Amino acid sequence: MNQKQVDIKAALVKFRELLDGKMRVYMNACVHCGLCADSCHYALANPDDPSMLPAFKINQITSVFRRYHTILGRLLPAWTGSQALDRDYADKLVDAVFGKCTMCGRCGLNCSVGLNTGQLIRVTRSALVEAGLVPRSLQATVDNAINTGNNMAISEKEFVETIEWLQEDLQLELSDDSIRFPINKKNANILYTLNPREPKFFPLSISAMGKIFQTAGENWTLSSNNYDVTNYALFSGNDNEARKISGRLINEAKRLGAGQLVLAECGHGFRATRWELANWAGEKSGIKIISVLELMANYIKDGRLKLDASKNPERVTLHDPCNLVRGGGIIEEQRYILKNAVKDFVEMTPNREQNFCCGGGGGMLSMGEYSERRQKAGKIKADQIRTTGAKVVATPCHNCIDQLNELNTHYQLGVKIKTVSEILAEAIIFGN
Amino acid sequence: MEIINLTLTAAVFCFISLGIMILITVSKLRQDLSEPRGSSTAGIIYAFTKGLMPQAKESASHHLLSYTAGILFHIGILAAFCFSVIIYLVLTEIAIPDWLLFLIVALIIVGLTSGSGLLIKRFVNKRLRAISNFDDYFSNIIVNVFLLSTLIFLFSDSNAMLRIMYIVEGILFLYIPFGKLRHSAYFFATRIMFGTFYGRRGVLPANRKSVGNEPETS
Ligand code: SF4
Ligand code: SF4
Repeated sequence: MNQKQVDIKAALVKFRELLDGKMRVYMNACVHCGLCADSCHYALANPDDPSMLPAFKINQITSVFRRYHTILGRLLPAWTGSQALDRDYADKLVDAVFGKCTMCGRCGLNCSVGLNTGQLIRVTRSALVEAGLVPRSLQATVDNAINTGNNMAISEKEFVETIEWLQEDLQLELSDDSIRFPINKKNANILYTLNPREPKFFPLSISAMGKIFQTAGENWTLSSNNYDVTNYALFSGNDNEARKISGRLINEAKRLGAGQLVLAECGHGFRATRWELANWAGEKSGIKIISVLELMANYIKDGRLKLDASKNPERVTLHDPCNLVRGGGIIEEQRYILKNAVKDFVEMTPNREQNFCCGGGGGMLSMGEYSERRQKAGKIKADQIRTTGAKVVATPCHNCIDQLNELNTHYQLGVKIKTVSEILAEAIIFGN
Repeated sequence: MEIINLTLTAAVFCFISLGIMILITVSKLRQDLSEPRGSSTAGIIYAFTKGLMPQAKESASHHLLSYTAGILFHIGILAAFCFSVIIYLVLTEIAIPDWLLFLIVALIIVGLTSGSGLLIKRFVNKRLRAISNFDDYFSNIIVNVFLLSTLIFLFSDSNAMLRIMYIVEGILFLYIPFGKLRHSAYFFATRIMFGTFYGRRGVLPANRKSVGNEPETS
């Protein structure tokens, strides 16, 4: 963050601008009952630190609202705990909304009144972005996506070469020269997206999807330069940048004449494109957008994939990405797939919309300055995993995979972390 | 009767103020342009029914005592408000059955006990103190004082207590739109938002059988 560029007034103007009906309700809703404390992984991991309580963070935000947007807050700020936004307080807010919250929404789901904390936190991030107070590391990830088309700044040449290599590899593995990983194919049924971490670090998950598409007989394509499903501007709070990033996928799908846009296993990417984009853009997306989990579940239901669950004999549990499940509504598909593809599936407790965040959400993985807190807050997830006795943790999100890999090492869980498609691909019976 | 009229004026002021706040809020609502996956209506119905039950949220299931105290406190407040309306009716010579008065007394006693308990909790619990300001304490105290004055009047049947009860109630009505107590209106708005958000996205009410479905419209 650059001291010279900080513009507190701009933050207040943005804050006011973002106070739509919903936000006005949320700003007035918290009754300070404190009963959400057990619902936040930060509060649970830091029981002696009241600043980790969801209600504390909410109060830090609403105190600014009260100061500028309520009569009593303006006349008697001390009475209502109202707070003027100056540089010092803005820094405290940055620490609270970027460093102590993954916008997972779990506290909101369990709140006495139902206050959507994640949305409140994002609005505050948006205002702080306007002041120039977004953490640099988070903004760098957004800048990469804006400037290069993907958040890992992979060149088009490098990407195409990786895909061609994966295609050859799968042709060899399945002894089938007809296997194709189409790029920029016109009028395919599906434009499939990727998390740039896949071509960069986890190419096997692309191979897995290649196998699945091939076996299902799908007419699909990738784009050579507009494939990045992630959208870190969802986390930075910058709506314009968020619209540009996710909007490119829609434009690309339309340019290629694809029948539908299929979003890869990425919690926040799904939420950004499926749920938030239309509102950022101010218009409906005009194309069918689904999660690859819906697609894979349909393949199984329709008999387009034949599976042998005994190919995945180890006990598997599932981590639900917050933005996909609680914030995205994709809840049963991943379970349906795993129940068909593995021999021994166990749920962790709690699960589905009540899942705990792994600690890697909210852009945390890109903000190195908070990594110690992130690891500590991840203990709740580590304990959940250990209790299941599973050897494999499936999760349909590459951000979660990164965080779970770190937790695996840090808390010595001794598990393998995989995407759902990797597990499904393992179970496929070929040649039918 | 003069005091009662002043209290009535305060009540009208309170309702108009809350009404204006809600109108401003509603006028600033933005339409959600995303394609629904579930039903907002089903979500809102859930938010006001099953979603309020202890098993639906940890704030209740993990804190049953506080949850119960909160509910009883609010029922007590409602009973006390009803009682002041009843007294108004009595003064205009409409008969009130004994059982109703008995019920009101019981609810106010339980409400006052719960409210006082929650106030003590706010004073002694370190975490709760960290998220509380004067408004939180005052809001609880003024409501408890209102319940107490109503109760004392019920037992003393004195004109002085009747006046005090209506004065406290008037102050309460005047304060509601300004402080934390305006959640009396925003609570309902928040539940509607909650139901709309989770209902539209197909998260709640939970549908464990929904797999790979096409989006439904709300
Ligand atoms: S949204 Fe998640 S991380 Fe943020 S305060 Fe709530 S439970 Fe904690
Ligand atoms: S449970 Fe809800 S109302 Fe109570 S303190 Fe937490 S956010 Fe506020």
